[in-house]
Amino acid sequence: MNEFFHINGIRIDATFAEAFDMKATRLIVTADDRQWASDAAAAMTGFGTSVIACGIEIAVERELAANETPDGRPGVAILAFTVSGKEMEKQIPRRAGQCILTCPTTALYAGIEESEPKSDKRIAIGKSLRYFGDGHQISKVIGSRRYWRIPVMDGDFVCDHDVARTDGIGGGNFILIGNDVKAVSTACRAAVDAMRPLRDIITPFPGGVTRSGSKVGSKYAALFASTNNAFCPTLRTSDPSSELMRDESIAMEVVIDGLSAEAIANSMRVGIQAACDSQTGGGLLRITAGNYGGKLGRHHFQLAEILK
Amino acid sequence: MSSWLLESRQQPEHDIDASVISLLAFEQISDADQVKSLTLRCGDGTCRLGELFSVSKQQGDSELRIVGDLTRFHRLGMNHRSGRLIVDGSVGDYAGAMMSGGEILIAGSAGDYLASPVDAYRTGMSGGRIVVGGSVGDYAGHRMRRGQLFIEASAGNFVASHQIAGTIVIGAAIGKHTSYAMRRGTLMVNCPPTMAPTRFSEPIEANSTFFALLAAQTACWATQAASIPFACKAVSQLVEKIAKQGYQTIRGDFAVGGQGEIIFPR
Repeated sequence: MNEFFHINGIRIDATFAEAFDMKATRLIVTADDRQWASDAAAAMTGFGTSVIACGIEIAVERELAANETPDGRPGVAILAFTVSGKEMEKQIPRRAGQCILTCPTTALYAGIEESEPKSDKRIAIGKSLRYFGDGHQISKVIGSRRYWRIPVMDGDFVCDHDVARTDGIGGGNFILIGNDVKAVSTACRAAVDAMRPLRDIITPFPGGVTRSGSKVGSKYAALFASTNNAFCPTLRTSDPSSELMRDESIAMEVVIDGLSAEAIANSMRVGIQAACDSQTGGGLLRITAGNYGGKLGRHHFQLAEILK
Repeated sequence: MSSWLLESRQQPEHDIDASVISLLAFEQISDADQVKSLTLRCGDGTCRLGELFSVSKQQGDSELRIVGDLTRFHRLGMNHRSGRLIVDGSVGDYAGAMMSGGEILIAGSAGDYLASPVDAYRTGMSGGRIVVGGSVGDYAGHRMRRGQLFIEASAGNFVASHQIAGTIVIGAAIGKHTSYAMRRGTLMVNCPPTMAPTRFSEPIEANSTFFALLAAQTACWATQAASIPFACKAVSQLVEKIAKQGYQTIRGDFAVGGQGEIIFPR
């Protein structure tokens, strides 16, 4: 489909979001109460907005009720995405050690369902953290899972030995364009709020939204990403590559990482629909998506197909 | 791997070395006559398995069920490493000796040296799970290195002696010299054991989320096994109580530099 179309008077471009293969995993943090679990998850997912400089894209997937966690306590599911398995192996133990192990009453579990036989692509958790126990750590096997009990100042820190790494997709996106900051913010928040209950996806940027969408490459050789000038309103009249129209003065992007193409497509549909349904007073004008001409990522999410 | 049913035909006059009766040995056998022709050491002599058991091949995968009183059968399930060995009755000494995986379920009681090493070997059970519906003799879990040992009723003297790792849960009373020379591992009992104060710590109150995981697994397992006489009610209740209410723990045996844990409810 080459023609744009409208939802509630908001133009939806006939374009696609271009996404890439990534490495992914899920972790489950539990604690004696919701607040400790949330505090630990907030620390773990801090500085995890983009692989460009953080090395990892990591965020809370959803809160878990006590009956959904391995130890029957309130918990949080976290999804993490990296460009390589090696980077994941570096990031997860480091963050788990400094952000979960340190937080009172917490425990950390693998959140990826195990295949039979077990996947050999694994990320260390207790395998690395156990050494903090300085010889007092205790290994325990239940079924086919190995746990570690590491003595800490409030008792034991319990964690899985490791977690399976799986394939994920990063870079699903849609861009909301308007003529009023408040209106576009409202639409973005409505979109992210609607996507929040969905499983298998995260929106790793602050509030789920970024205003500094990037393109691949830069005039500076040291940078492999730079500002997406096509959507910068201050460059609209001076940059021939600008994709903004006359009335458009604000653009914000919702970026989505997910465990499957279906999960990302569904979240885009839910998010765009919610944005179009939100009360923006006519300030939200257009929704489009970021891509690189289809040359970079093998996952293409056509807005028209997603929303039909 | 196939499944087999062995039903006791007569009690042996002498003690039997039952280490031959195992899924491992039956792995290459396709018909019941071959199983019947297996030779067992019986006292100072030998006998054929078929003289003591009727043998039939069963539907299912990797299960050996033996029905009858096997108290004169020793070393049953020795080196067991996969599948399920079910005994509808009691067994003799050294049951599950040096097993490394799979499950052994004993509806009745077990003799001495359950899950221990035999002869001059130094490592006992190193994986899998043994469930005993009744009581066990002395030295249960001796030199145990890994795995789970659930004993529904009482245990004799020297339980968990020289234990290196693994988890032992005992639903009723235990004898003397508990955890003698224990290095690591966990022994869960339902009341405070009498321990030598020079070799074991004072009990202290503690809590660990690990026992919630163990309780969930034990409850799940008990539910699955409810149709057979291995529901392990006392064991499940003990683990759940410890998970929910916290526990007291004694550490030792300091005589060997050990830091094993003996756990009982608050």
